[in-house]
Amino acid sequence: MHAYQAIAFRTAYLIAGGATEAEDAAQDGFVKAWRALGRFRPGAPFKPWLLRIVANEAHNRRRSAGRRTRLAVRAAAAEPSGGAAPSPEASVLDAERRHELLAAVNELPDDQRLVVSLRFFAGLSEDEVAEALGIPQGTVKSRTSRALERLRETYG
Amino acid sequence: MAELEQALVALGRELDFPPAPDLSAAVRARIDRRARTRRWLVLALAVVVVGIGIAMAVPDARSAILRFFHIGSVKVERVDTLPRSREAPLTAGLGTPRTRAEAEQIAGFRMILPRFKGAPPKRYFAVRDALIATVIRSGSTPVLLTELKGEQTWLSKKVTDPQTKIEGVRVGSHDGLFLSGGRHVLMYQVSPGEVGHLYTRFAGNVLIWAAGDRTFRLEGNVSRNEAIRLARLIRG
Repeated sequence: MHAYQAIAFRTAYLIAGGATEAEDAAQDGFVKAWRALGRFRPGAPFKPWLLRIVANEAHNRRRSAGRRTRLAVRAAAAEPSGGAAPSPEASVLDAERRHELLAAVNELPDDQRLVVSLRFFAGLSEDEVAEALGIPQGTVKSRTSRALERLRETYG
Repeated sequence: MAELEQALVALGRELDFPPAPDLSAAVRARIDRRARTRRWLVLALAVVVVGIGIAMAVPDARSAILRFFHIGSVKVERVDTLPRSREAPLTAGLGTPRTRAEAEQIAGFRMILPRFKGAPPKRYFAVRDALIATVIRSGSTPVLLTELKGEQTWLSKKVTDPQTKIEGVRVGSHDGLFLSGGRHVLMYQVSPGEVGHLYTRFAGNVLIWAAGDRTFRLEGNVSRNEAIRLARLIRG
């Protein structure tokens, strides 16, 4: 369970839009997964199966809360790092462009924003995103493609 | 990977995600009924964590849920601000008093009563297909005994403020929670989903434990030891 709770919570947070809802969703997801272990197909990957359950719980809570996640950059990451050498990531993305890119992600249509968030921010593969959201892998590809196209307009 | 994708991955590492909570205590408390000793330790640890959390946490939002526990059909939530509530009799919100047979018919199961020296209670209360309650006595002190069947966590919820003490206890071979001090609120939800259907009142000291498919709840102005003594008279 320890191996999956961070990714379960993050996935739930990206969908549900709040830490409290995410914690509830992740907890209920783990309990439901435990009870449904008998229906888990041996040999199938466990993580996407678990995330599907957690994602369903998170969707339910998001519907009732009616909110949408507004992602933000950590305060420390938003500030210049003084004299320290920039990390490889920082060299890719300076603070200003980081904010622009995040603003653009936050403005994406819901379905595209969710796919992009799970794919790039939660680090899920296309297969895992498809399983977690209960959509075909082709839909993940097309939503990702449309989202990247929009983001390129901002990011250049 | 193209530059934009790389930038998104880099951005993901710098996003302000809330720290992932340790869910293991709460999850295990719900699923690991067989490993009772182990669950007991986890539960005790969770309560300690709550204590620390209360001292340290300054939630931005009022009424933020600091921690929650499930015991059978009951959910206990620790919040910083209680919902609006009022003082009310123990049986308020439970509907019309009935005979035991009528209440059991409504609840859909037979109530397990403590072994009485005197006459058993005459008035019982039932909610839909899930809950049955009656008032028993500890000396002259009334104590509300509630039994819930199944895992219907929408039905009954206790919300506590940071001053409420939550202790892990043992009731025979079962784990439970004893809530005392501070202010805590009992919420009955008579249909799933809608917050507007909650009945809310302040509650006295409460012992909650689960055994088999039942969740038991004893509420009244009694000590922890007295509540556990009463609970042990109930044999499922």
